[in-house]
Amino acid sequence: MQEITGTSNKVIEVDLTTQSHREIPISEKDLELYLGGKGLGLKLFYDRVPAGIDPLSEENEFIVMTGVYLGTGAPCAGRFAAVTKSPLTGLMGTGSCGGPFGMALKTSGWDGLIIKGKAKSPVYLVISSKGVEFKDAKKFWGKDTQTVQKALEKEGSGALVIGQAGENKVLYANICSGHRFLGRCGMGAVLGSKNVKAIVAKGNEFKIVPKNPRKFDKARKKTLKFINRNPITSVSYRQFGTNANVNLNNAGGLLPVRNFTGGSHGEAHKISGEEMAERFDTKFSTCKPCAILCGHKGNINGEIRQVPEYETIGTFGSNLEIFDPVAVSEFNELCTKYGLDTISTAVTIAWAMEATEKGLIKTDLKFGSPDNVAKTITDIAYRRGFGNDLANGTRKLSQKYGGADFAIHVKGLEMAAYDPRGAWGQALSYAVANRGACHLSTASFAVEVYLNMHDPFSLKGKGSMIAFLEDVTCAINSMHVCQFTAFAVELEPFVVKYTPTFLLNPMVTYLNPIATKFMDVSLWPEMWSGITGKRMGMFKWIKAGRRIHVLERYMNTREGISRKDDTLPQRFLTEGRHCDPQQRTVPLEELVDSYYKARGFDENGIPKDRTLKRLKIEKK
Amino acid sequence: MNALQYPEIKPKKKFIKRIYIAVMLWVVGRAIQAAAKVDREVKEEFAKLKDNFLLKMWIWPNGPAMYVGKTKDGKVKYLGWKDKGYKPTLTMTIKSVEAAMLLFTFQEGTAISTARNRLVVDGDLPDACALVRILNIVEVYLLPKIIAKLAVKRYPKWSQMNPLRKHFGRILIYVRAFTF
Amino acid sequence: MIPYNFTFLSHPKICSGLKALEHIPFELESLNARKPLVITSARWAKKGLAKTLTKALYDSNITIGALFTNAPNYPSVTIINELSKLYRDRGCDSIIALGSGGIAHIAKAVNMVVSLKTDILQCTDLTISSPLKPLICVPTADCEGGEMAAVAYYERFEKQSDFLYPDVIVIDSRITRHATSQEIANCALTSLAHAIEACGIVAPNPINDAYAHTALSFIYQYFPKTIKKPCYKDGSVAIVNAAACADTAFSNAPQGIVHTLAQAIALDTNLQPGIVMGILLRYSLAAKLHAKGGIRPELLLALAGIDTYAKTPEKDRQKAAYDYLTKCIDATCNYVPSTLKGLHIPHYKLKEYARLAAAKNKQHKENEYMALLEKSFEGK
Repeated sequence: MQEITGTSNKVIEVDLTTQSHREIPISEKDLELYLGGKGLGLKLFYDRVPAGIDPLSEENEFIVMTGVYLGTGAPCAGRFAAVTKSPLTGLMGTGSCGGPFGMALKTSGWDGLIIKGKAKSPVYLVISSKGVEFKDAKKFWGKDTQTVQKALEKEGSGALVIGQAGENKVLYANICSGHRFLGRCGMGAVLGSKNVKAIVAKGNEFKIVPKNPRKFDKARKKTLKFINRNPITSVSYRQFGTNANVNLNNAGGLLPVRNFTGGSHGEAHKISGEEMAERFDTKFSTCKPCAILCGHKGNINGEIRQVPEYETIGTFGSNLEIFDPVAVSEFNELCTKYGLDTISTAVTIAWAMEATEKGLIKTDLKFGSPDNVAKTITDIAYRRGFGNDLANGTRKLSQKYGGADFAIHVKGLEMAAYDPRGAWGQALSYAVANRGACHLSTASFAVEVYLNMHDPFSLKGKGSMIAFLEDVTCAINSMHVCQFTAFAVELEPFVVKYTPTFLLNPMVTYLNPIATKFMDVSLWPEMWSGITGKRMGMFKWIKAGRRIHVLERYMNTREGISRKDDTLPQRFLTEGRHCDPQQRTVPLEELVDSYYKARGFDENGIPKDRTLKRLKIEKK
Repeated sequence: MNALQYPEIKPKKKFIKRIYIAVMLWVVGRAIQAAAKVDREVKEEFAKLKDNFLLKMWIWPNGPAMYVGKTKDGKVKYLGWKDKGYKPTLTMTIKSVEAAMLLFTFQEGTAISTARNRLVVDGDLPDACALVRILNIVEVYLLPKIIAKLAVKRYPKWSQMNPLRKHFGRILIYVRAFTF
Repeated sequence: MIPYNFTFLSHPKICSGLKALEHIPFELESLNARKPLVITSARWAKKGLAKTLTKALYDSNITIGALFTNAPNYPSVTIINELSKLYRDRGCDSIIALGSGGIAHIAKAVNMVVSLKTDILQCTDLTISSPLKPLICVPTADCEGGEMAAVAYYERFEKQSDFLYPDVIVIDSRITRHATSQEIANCALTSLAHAIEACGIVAPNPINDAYAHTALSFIYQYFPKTIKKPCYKDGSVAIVNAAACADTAFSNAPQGIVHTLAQAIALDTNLQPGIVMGILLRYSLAAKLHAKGGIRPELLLALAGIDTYAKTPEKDRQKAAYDYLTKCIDATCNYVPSTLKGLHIPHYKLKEYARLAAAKNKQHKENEYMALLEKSFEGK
């Protein structure tokens, strides 16, 4: 097997219209400034695609970037990033997936893949070090993701596959790779609009070797040590998966209940990770490679199935008031098959349930009842009947039928399963996140509620904290490494680990810009540096993360985003909840003001010229 | 929604402004009575009015008020602020305490106030016009020129009211108004 | 010349100027009401406007049944039902809307529910055949159009009825001077568009023209100064007066192409409709200038006054009116770009907006809407 030292610095561009391909080199400068993964993907998109294009047209490009870590053996580095223009939001859509396609593409000798144009008829692509083969996908068109994946196993070691939802351009259709997904932003619809049913990468042609193996190995071992020491990564998530969050969120008032009208529920334990681990006799089923092992499968209803992740449990479970994990697992399986984002699907169905209750529409959906939910998911995937409207997401639904006050989305992307009224930092994060109501933009709820490191209901320091977390998360997603390693890498170093919470909390709350300077996140840039052979200090790495975030924001402002869009659904601004005796709502204006100040944006949320200049972002 | 967060709000009273207006109404009432004896023009205006003429000037909805009328023997008398079963022939209703304050701090004259719908007049139009003329004369007597110019529509010229008449009349009206 | 046939209705009494709020108790009493439900938003309550209104009702027989200070900007079924219940529980007999935009429409929707004694969604199909409960509108300067008109917007419904006019509109500088420049621009441009479209209809009438012309002359005189200094008392009062007059003109004329398109774009993009109207209006007028019939020369009279109108030769009046109007719109250059592209509206969405507008207002065809959108996109 051949070796690639560091990175191959080449991306394969596939033109579906002309059925051709070519090699695009990545400059060293871009790699250093944008790190790889999501960052490099955004930079490529920015350089190649003008603003104002239709996401479902030929002009849109779908970019997959593997990142520097993939294939090197770095812990929890089995992930890859994707960038495109989202048909759901009309803004930059980015995704992260732990499926096998990334490894297959990287070990085929490519750091990334660009798909442009549109095929005349359904095709699937097979990528190897030699290039790409265009194959007729008519026999797969109309088939579900799992069937097609199985059929394509002999073609390569990893695939990206869309289901019927992607074929029918459901605006929140996803892309499947193994048992993981490029879930959000409707990337499946983009591939569907290009008539691409699947992309297979042969893989196993190259071995990836770091340029400075000693430096890399030292950082890698330390990271592993931290992962195995940290209680969240080594115990909670390892034993119970992401559903360990259910009980935590229920106690902290973050669990979405009944379309986000409530923050906790007496029956939440039925869908908790602890209960499901026992009930379904779960075993590991994870991304490869992974040291945390959060993914699980179990014996559910007589079948061995992937245990639904927390987001699915939260949005299809408590948010619809369905506390039966077997029912939620059925919905999860349907979404897997059809290639639908579970968060957007479930939150859209929750909207439909509430709109039915209020008399705005007529459906057979009802809170607390799993009846008709499965049929609705199928109707959405095939855009049948009312499913055709539901397939466009809550924003379009509320524009047509009303109910905008309980359409739980930001910028068109449905909200994940953390109620922002339980943690104001998370509320701010949702409001300003680049791709919409994304919980992974910062996962601030963990800092505020799980770890008690920042007062969830204080206005102090929120702007700078969210800005810092966004920078770090962007950098993580450009490595590309699993965000859960943040629990280990950020919390295990000496200062954070051994400073008592009663000191740490006020420091992080009231002296946030100073406190973040003491946070040691150097393991990530050290591994990156060990792989590429380039110097990358911690502060340079965080600055790169900031550059990536601000570039994405700038690209969104070219699509019309400004302060008017950095908001939350009315429910969170005006309605209190029973679980909170103080009936708190989110004081968003002050939070957004402090964020813009921390970010160097003007009062309209547009990055100032000097901010762009400082980050070396060229205005287009 | 917690309805207890939005309680009923009963209207408070603006005591200081009400006291000020009450005092001003008393002064104006007494001054009209005095002017009716002292000034020739005022005497003539009142003579043209009917014998049962009774003015009620009040602040809606709960006062204070001023009653001025002609007695059986034709004299003009300030009848006080209480309603003792009077039947006013001319009612000037000032719609609010704030409107009265504008009037009695001379930021607006009577004519302007009426034009701006702060004052509602009930009764005969000729009587109302006569009363406005009377009030203008009284204000010229009571107030220094710099303030009276704001209150009245047209400050009288030298030929209409010479300084001797004005100052002498002013002294007499003040003495009569504040003594007997 | 008296037009062959027209109908016109303007119901509201307008109290405008110094201490106008203090008229409210008397006006309520004359409408046989003594216990209003006051609806306003947290923003205005924080600025002290609710306190100002409460003080204006001192020394009267008016008891505020409830002062609701959390009205959102979106008139949802939930808030309408909650406020209707509050109204009934407190035994209120009238409503005061303190604020513009969603607050006014929530107040109108609540008024329908409590007067017609039915669910808000059923009100959409009902014909209102008798006066509703007394409604007083105290607008702030962030009007979005329709607050003082015979129309109510709630959820995605639009209800038109002569009985939806407020009974009294109170315009006081203590209330109007708190808007931002952006909001003043939005208000003025909405009023401009409504006034121009109202007097540009096929069969204009002199009464409607009078309201439209008053709106235009207020905007032309006060807008350039007020947009630089939004707290300018006279200016903000003038702009809101212009909005009131424009709303009346709007209620007595069919909805125009600019209004319909702006609503469709604003719904999708969260932009303020007035900002979009300001862009579309420029190109709509430019197109009309060269079309058969052109722009009415009387607009010049409204904008520039009798002297300029008389001095301008008859053949040049249309062009002069267009120039004055664009000069007025240009005063917003810091807040409103001159093309839709400047607002970052993507070209591919124009077709959808034209389709939605044509579905809502069938007086114009989809290709007419599309033509205006194309012209406004890059300004060519």
